[in-house]
Amino acid sequence: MKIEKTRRFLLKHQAVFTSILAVILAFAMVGILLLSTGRNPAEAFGYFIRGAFGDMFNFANTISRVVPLLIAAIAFIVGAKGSVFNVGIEGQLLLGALASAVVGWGIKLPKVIHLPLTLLAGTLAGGLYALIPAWLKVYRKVNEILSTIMLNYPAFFFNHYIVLNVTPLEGVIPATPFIQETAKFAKLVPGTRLHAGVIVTALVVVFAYFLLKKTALGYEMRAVGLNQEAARFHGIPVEKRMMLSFFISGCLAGLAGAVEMAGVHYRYLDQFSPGYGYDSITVAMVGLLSPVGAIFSATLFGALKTGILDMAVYTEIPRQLVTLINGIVVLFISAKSIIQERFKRFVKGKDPASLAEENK
Amino acid sequence: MATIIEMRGINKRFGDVQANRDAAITVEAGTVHSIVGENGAGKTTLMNILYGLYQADSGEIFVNGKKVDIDDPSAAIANGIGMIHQHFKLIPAMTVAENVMLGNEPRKAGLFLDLAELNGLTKELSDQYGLAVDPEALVEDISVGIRQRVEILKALYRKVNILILDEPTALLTPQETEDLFRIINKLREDGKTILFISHKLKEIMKISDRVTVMRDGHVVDTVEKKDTSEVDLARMMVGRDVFLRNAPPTKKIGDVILKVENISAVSTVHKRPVLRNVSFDIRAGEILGIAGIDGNGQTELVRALIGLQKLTEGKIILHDEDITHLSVRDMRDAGIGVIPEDRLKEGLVIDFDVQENLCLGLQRNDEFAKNGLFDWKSVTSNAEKLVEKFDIRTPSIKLLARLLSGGNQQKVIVAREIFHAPDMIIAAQPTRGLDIAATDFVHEELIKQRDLGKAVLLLSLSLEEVMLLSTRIAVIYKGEIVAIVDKDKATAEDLGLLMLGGSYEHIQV
Repeated sequence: MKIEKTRRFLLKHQAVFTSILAVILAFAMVGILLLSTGRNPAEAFGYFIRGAFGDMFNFANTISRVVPLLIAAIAFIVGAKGSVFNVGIEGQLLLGALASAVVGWGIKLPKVIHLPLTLLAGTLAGGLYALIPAWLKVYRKVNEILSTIMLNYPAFFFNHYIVLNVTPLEGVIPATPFIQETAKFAKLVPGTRLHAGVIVTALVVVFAYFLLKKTALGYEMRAVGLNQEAARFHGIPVEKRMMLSFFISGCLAGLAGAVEMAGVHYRYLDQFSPGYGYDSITVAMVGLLSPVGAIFSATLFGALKTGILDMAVYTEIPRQLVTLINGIVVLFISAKSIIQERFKRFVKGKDPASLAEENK
Repeated sequence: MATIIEMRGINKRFGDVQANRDAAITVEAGTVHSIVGENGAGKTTLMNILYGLYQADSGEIFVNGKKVDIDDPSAAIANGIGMIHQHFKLIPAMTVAENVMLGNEPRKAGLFLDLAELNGLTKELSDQYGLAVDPEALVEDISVGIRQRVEILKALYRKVNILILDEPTALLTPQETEDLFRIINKLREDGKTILFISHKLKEIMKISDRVTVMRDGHVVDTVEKKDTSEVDLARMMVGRDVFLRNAPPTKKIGDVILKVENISAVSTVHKRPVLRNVSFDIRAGEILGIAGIDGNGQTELVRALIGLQKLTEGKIILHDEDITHLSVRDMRDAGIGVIPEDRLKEGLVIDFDVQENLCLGLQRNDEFAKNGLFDWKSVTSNAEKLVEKFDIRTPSIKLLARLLSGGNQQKVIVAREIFHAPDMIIAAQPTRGLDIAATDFVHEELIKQRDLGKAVLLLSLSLEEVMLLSTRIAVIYKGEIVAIVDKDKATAEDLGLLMLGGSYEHIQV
């Protein structure tokens, strides 16, 4: 009976196990790759883990990488739950970072007001920018995957223009001037990138969970995400809810940019984002579009970014490997249904007929 | 007549469910043999075993008196057995002929597709059985009824002489069903054997030579059509007497609840009128049935009554209050409950769990939300109450609605709408696709609501259902109510004529 119980448990949480399995498979694949090029994967992964979690310093740096990824992933999740596939997080995040940098630099205020105002500016910039594809989708039936992807470019070049031509340049790096002390997050661990923005991140996760699970509004957004026709039939204003999902998604994306700006760079640095907006989609997917799941997957991807540094320093493996790992994880997550099918078959004891019945 | 198929002692188990137990069936060549039973009775499993999709745990299959092993569908086809599933397996982007020949295409010089031959062969086969299919049409452009014929052609092209049809009429309109029966008769004349899976008794009585009834995985009996009746078959299927023929008469009729005055509407798609001057009223304690052929304005009428269809003129009055221009939410709050015609698309969010579905549309009511905060405790207690009261069979209220059987999905909708609707219930096709026991449940509930003094508007494509339940019957034709008659004064023939556009005066003569 104990086996039966375990089996039930595994089947019930098959989505979670599939996600974990996909990540493990990706790492195994990288291991094989390292082995085949004459390197020692055990050694490499050892350095990797040490680099990501080995001491306070590394751990703090890892968490600081988690911050923008996690906020942006939550942005994607809130959109996806409300039937919006927001691939424009990168652009919204960049605009959010710029808007907050301008407010953080141009105004003098006491800290209790200045920092929140800085973050608010970023949040609104992202949200407002998202209203363009939102309107196009809801009222003009333009597919948001295309519109949001394309809108990432104007955002980037607009910022580029502002930094080079409008705000004063200090030095040779294209960037806005540094923000006021009153607009900065405090460092939590001196000498690392970890800053008090972690608290904002935690609040964002709680907010998303609360919104989606504990409010009538969240219920309606999820209903729209799963079945628009039924939602309409039951009196839910579908168009309004879709606009709102898109807006909140954009707001959180903008906030991710603002937090990164006010906690790490203290100015808008052209090309400061290594593609947080795009990575956030993978993070959200691996996290099964759940705010709680995203905490784990964001930690994994944050660790990838810091762990790989130690690995590159102590072994001869180039740090571009991180791109490869990322790519392979995405590949396996995309092939999730195959993995899930195999997983189910394995757990159930390989009866294809009963599987067919199950799938009906 | 010779026995063409015999299955003996078939057992099949899926996990905890014994889908077939000692099932046995004998089929004569050149007959239409129906296999009937409730959903889950094991009829499709038995046929899937014959077609090689499943392997029986034990049991034997004989084709033309010879014992055969059918390991997969290709073995079945080699034995002359073909099967057409409820959900077609066609490639939408290819033409009819390409689909028919798929995998066995005629070739030129062994390499190139012989298009002329391809289309010619398909045309020939189509004409032979009066299927009237255009070989060059793309499958994505043709109707469900025609797609089904393409499936039949596929089987015929593979020289099948035993054809299994799994609930072939489930997705068809009445007219398409007629056409299908014509084709089946033609196939029978040609010496083919048809195995017809269904739970629609009327159709079975119409098309079969013999009927095998299944229940709980075993075969209850096999009878000659001429020796049985719908009522007998229903009793064998369900294992007890059913409502089917006699609903208790209307008791006490009260005040007018809903009054519809001269409403008209045009379609948003092709701007044609879909409702023309529709007027009627419904009183407390009565069921007004709307009879009509599909596509005569029933869908639009329901949408109008819940605020989804814009009206060009007219008024809707509920309890002396004009609700014509209210939003969907406000209309439902005003006291209208609706069982929509499309259970999966409109009635449920199938990826919500049972408890979330049981408060769909009510999420803003005080019971479930306080200051915008969702009250999961009430959601759960509401679900527990309704599951118990309406006997919804689910292992947990946290199961996704997708995983419920069709009958139980409908119970979720009926429970929610009836329990929370104050006085007016609209039931659109409330029993479409349900088996007998579930249909019986819905009918009983509607009658119960009527006797509680609620007003019920019933729209159904089944004239039989309308006549069974209604106090009065309105006939809708091309968006117009052409007659409203008392149930006692209506005959099926008169109503049928009206539904087809005949005039009432003409009938009176």
